[in-house]
Amino acid sequence: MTLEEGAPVADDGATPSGPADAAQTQGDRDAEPTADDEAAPAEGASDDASRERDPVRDFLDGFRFGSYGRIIAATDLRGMSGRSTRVVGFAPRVDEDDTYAELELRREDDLFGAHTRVVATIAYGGPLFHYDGEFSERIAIRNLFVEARDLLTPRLTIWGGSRMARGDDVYLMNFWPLDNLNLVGGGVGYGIDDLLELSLQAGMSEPSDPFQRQTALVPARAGFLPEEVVFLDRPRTVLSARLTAWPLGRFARDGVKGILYGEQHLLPSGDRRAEDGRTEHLPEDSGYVLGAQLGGYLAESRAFVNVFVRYARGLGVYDPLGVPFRTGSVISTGRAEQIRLAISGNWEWTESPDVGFGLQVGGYYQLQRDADPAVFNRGALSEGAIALRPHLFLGDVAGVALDLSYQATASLALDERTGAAEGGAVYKLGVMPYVSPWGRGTYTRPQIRLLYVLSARDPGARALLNPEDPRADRELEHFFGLSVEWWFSSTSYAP
Amino acid sequence: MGPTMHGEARRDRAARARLGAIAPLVLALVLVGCAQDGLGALGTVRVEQHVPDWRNQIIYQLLTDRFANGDASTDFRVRPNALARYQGGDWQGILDHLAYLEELGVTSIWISPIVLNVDHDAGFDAYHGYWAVDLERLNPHFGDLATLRAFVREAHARGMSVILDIVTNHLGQVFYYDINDNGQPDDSLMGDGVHSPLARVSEYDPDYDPRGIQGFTSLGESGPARVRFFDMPEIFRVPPEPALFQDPSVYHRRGRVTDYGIREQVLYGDFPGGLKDLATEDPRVRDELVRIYTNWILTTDIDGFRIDTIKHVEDDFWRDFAPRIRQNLAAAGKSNFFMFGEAFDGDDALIGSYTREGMLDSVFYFSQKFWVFQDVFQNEGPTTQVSRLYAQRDTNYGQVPQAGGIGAPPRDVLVNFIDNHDVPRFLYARADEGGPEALRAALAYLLTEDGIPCLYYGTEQDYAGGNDPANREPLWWSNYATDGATFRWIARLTRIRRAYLALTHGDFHVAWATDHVADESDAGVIAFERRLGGDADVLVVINTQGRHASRSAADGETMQTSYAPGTALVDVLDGARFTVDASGRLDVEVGIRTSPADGSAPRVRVLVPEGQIVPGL
Repeated sequence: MTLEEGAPVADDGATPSGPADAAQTQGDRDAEPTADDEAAPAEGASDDASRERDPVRDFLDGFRFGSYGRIIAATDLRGMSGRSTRVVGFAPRVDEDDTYAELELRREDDLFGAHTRVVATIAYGGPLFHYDGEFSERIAIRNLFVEARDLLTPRLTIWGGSRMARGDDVYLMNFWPLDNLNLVGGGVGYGIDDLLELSLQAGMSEPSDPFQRQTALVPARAGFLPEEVVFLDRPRTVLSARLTAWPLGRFARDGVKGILYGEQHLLPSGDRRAEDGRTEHLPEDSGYVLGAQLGGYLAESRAFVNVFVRYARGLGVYDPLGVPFRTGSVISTGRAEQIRLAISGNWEWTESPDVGFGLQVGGYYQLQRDADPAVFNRGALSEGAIALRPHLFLGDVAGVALDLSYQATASLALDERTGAAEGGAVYKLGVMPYVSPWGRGTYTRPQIRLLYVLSARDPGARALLNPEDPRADRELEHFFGLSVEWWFSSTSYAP
Repeated sequence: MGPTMHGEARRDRAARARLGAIAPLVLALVLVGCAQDGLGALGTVRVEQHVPDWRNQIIYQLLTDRFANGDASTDFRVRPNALARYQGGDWQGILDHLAYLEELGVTSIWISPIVLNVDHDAGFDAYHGYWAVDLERLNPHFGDLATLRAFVREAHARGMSVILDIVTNHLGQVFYYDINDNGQPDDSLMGDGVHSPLARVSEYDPDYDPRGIQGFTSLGESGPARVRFFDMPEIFRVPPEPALFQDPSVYHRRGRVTDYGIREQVLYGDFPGGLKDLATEDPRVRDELVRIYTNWILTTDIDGFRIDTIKHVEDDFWRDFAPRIRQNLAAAGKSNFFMFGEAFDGDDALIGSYTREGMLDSVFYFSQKFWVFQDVFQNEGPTTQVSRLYAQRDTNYGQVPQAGGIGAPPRDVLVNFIDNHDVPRFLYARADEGGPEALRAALAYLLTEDGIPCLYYGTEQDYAGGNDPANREPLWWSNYATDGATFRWIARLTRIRRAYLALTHGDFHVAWATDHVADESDAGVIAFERRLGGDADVLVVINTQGRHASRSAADGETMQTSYAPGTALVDVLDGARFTVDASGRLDVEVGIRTSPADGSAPRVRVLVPEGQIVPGL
């Protein structure tokens, strides 16, 4: 998937979605000895012990703060800023070049037999004031919801508000391959022992785009000043269901996990006004997502592997905050189709106090056909990436990681200048010495890193750049800089 | 069969190989049964000769933006029903409607220019394609390269050919003359009325100056005006590509043509609308144009060029450009590439001059449009216009095939047309009740005379638009109906033309023409034979006026034919039978309707010897 208009939105550039959240998941994992991707944060755990705590003390101690963030300062060693080299929608993140942070405030209480959370997450998308001198920032409210666990009956969870709803990620691609919703709505979840959990969610979204919403000024009914009239107003409704099973128990030190997942997207019909005054009817639209995940984990070696498969059709191909079409002239998404495979994994060897090893793996491949009826276009593409990040831990607080990756894309379009099929590939080699003050571990944060990445574009990848872009003539790109990444005590992941 | 473009094939294989590196995932994907359309064979192009003999072709001229909208994703900045703006047609639309064209019976599709244009200028859009800004990129309003290739490939698969409209004379309005050197394009410059003339001068499109456009202020002239390229990427109004065209010296920079009677202005002036005139005498420009347009052929496997505004380019250019294109194509294995030019002029000698040795294969037969289709069929003037024009044929047009060209002499392959996108449609001037019948009579002439017939899209739907842009109506207004009288008339005539070799290859001989235009017995009659020799000749008789029936006899004279006495002729349209008299003469009556229901004589008769009838037409 590219970042073109019409592509499903799932990256920081299109919506302020957070790679952060996967990291937070991993951060919470650090707080919990299990390697289960379905994070079980210590602070959010609803066990008997927490319910027996002193309510008065809990009330006084109920405020929590969590955060995710990454800040990068980098150069391309040619005198310009370091920039990510990518040809796919979810590129290996080793040279990600954007600053992003979430500041989460929440109130957590154990009162009246239920654990409640009121969560507010403010997200910030760079650049920082100290970099560009702009005393205005790009912020968004990424979470604003209330959740009650063990309400009425143990293991029943209800939430309402606005929240990110997502499951496990492929950290090395900053990517949620199965589910990544941003909803205003609510949900309910119920668990059977520690073996099974079903969660249902419903939410709405309505980007201010002529596909879903259109307002215009019209002459005043009375008086002089024009009045605004809403011509088109059709929010998308998304229903999602997720069934998770832990055959060996949710909190088993070594276990497996299976997930079945589905979404149903619904869009009512509507009418919009064309520039020439005509009324254009937009028919009802719909779509769906079906997906599954299978994973296993070993607590001792902090090892896990997750494999994802996902199929989307129609409206389900497009992120609820995305605009499905390039020109706004296509009025139905029925033709759109997407199929995706992904994998993520981790393994660590930490038995020696002096030295240790770790290995992170991530990859995905997807085929996508856009909704517009053109047989050949850049919205119909196949793309994929794979990344390996081996770590060498030096003592408890230092380490060196390598990052090796490959990404490639091919679309159903031909390059007009060469006549060849459009597509290209990028190879990366990164070296990343770091310090990790909270201990060793591939997912332990914060990390303060020195970073060098060498990226190589093949001719096809260079041809994907605008010919006037100076990088279009360069086979190699350097990325040298300092970055920091942290996460702790955050809730931005699937309920 | 031409060679494969090996470089492209390698690129294609390389692209596949890249993705092969993650083969396990791909394999898994295949296993789950995902299917997706692919580029398939479109990743490469094998150029071939697709038209053995251009005399067999029937051209259909269309404006891509107006023919059919097959891809809504290209509908950017469309203003429906504002005909000076984009309407949404594209190459996918043409591909989707090839069956419609097949049913009409045309065999060659002439599409409007494909290259990237200055998208918008002074309230008008470049939907027509004549405002080039990047000669190596496609106009995204019409689709992408894969779609263009798919269209061409499918046309070839159906036995059709594709002609591309190109422009060598000028680019779009890519720069302005900074006459007052203030660094901005001024739409109106004024003198002070005392020290300098009080006149409106536009820096976008100033009037012709043989010295080159001069800068001036209220104090007087200041030397050659500086040329400044626009930088408006939102409408592709940017310095042109390839980079050579960013050099001011490759333009004549003399301002717009104001007097078409002055050859120098026609050659060196900007085309009205501020379209900047290229210095086509510059070898660098020639080399670049040859390279670019050769590449488009090799990239798409199109079969011909219709070349715009050829009279605005010096003759020597065509003696250089056309042979080099042919040589390049011969090296790639493609032959019979057809190049015909447009000289918008009624001067038959001027038009014909571009078909001299070493130049173009043919021209758009503008003199016939004026002399015959306008004066005779539209205005019901004397049919001797036909013979008078034809009498100039051998004098004005090339008599031998161009070396390396299509194998037919220009005089035999002139591109005949009734109307086109630059003139009002036939029915605009014939809005009277008899207009459609007059049009069908003209169509009968077009599809039975010698040369290559060219139909302007919408004619088959009785479109009647006036001058540009009214004559560029979207064809989807017609719902692509195939049951209209004119559509069916054309379809029948094209079947007949293809069935009788004499109609495509026979010599043209006027058998009857008249100055009579009133109530005389032969008023409006034009009759001609298409002779192949032997007994395969075809005799066509048409009544060009719609007031009364006429016959091929008057004042005691009867039409003399070349048929042997006693030859039985049959009208392929209605089966009527005629016999040539003992002196080889034939009196044929033609009425005022092409398909009369009252038993009267039809307006058009196409007569062939009885034994030569092809059934089922």
